[in-house]
Amino acid sequence: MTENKNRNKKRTGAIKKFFFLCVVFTFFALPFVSAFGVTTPYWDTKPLVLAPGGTSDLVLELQNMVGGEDILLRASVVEGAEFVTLLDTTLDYLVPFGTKDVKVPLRISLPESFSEGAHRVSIAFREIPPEEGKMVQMSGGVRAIIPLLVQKPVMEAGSEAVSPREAKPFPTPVIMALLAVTLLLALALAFVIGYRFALQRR
Amino acid sequence: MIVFFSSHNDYGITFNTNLFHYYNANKGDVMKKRGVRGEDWSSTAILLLVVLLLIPILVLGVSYATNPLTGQVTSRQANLSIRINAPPVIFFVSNVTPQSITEASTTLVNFSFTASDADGAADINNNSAQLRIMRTGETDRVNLSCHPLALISATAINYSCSVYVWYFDGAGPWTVNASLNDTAGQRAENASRTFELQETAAMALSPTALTWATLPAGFTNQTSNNDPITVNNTGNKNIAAAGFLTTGYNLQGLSTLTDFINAQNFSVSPVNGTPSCTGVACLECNGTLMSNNTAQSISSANLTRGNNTINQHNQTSGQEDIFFCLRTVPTEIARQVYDTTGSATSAWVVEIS
Repeated sequence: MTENKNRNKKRTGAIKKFFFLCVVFTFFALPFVSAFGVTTPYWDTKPLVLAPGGTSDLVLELQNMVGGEDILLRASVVEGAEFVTLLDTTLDYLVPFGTKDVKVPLRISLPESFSEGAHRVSIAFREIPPEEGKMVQMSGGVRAIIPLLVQKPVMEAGSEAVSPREAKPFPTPVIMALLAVTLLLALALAFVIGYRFALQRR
Repeated sequence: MIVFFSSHNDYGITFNTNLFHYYNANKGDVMKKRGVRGEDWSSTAILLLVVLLLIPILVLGVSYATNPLTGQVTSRQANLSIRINAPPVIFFVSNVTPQSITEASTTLVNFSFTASDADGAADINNNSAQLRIMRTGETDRVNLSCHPLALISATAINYSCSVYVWYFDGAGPWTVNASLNDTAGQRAENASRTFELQETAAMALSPTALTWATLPAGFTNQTSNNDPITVNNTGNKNIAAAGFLTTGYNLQGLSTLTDFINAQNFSVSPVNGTPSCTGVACLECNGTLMSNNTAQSISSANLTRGNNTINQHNQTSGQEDIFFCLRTVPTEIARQVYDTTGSATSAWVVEIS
């Protein structure tokens, strides 16, 4: 009976421990800092201006200058996927520590029917963290926002679009010079004729 | 002038313009005498008169010559030489391609400019060559000691100059102002050139993992024991509240893979309660609820660009702290370890845009 009591005590203790040990988060050593940056050629005060049907190729740049470790980033189009294309075949970018010029090319192609006004493109870069230990792991992310201003080309009021041939400028200075020479020759000829006529009449 | 002659005899002498008349006072006669004796007297008188008249004139003339300050204008020839200093000119400042900041650090931007001086290159004060970049609302970045790079000609020098741009300096066009003096102190300045600083969104977060103490099932409002996650804005883009995002994922059981602690059981906030807070007194437990694989904007969190070294953990230093809370420990799940390493889960993301 004593043996049963001891056995029961052990079981109760184990159950209690098990009951409280319901959720455990274990901390293991990980990189202490997650850091990187994305440089864009357009921003809120310098939007990309495109006409409907227009296309623009641009390049984003990734940098990893903090933390001391190489970083692996995954790119994705968050906003504007219907007209934005990331041109690289693989969208995972290794950014070695100490570099600031890992390039990410992309293309923005607007359909002809694209509505005018302010739009934006958003490309997200998220860190792919190394798998180490058991924990609630945190990773960093940066979204590159490219403001897009869609507007049709500006034309003068009342004018129609002209073909490139018709739009060729008329060589006005050349014509004016020719007219002046012609006029002078005509005057000289008239003078000569008149002088001869007068001589003949005498 | 009245001239008195004393007569040594009985003759008195009167004068007229043409003829000297002698008369014998005693005899009462007017005697015209044109003899040697009369002419001698008249010539002498005339000579004496001229001399007497000339003396003061001569005296005046000499005094005038020796003392020109008589009220009259005098003139004197003098040689005068004036050297007009030619001011220096900075006629060229190099064009610079668009630059980007370096996260949490400085970027060295290189410039060059050329100055000339008609008085010769040696007239340029090399120690005064400096370059300043400026943008409205930003702190000027200056190099006060640009150094001469090469003598272009007898009158022109090319200078090299580098300026440090900080990671929190604003994006946009910056004016390049090159200046120097010559040895006479005349200044040359050229502010015609600009360069573009591009925008970089960058962040650093630490630590990279969250922990909780051992949690009994059914407990509520349990805060992390190693938060906050400190996020530094290490770029030059201001991050508003709408641009501060967290994405949570359900925590998957290590043993029983089909059990999860859903992400919506967690909340996040940029503010927290007192260190000893419990329950609803812990403000992070009333923060933004997380959602599985869905980015949530953290209200009132923002990351204004700034100098992280100030370390105020607020907008002043471009920093934001975020706190996490497990609002409810589920009771229906297995007692095991739950984390983000399973195949059906992923690392939580703190994201800026």
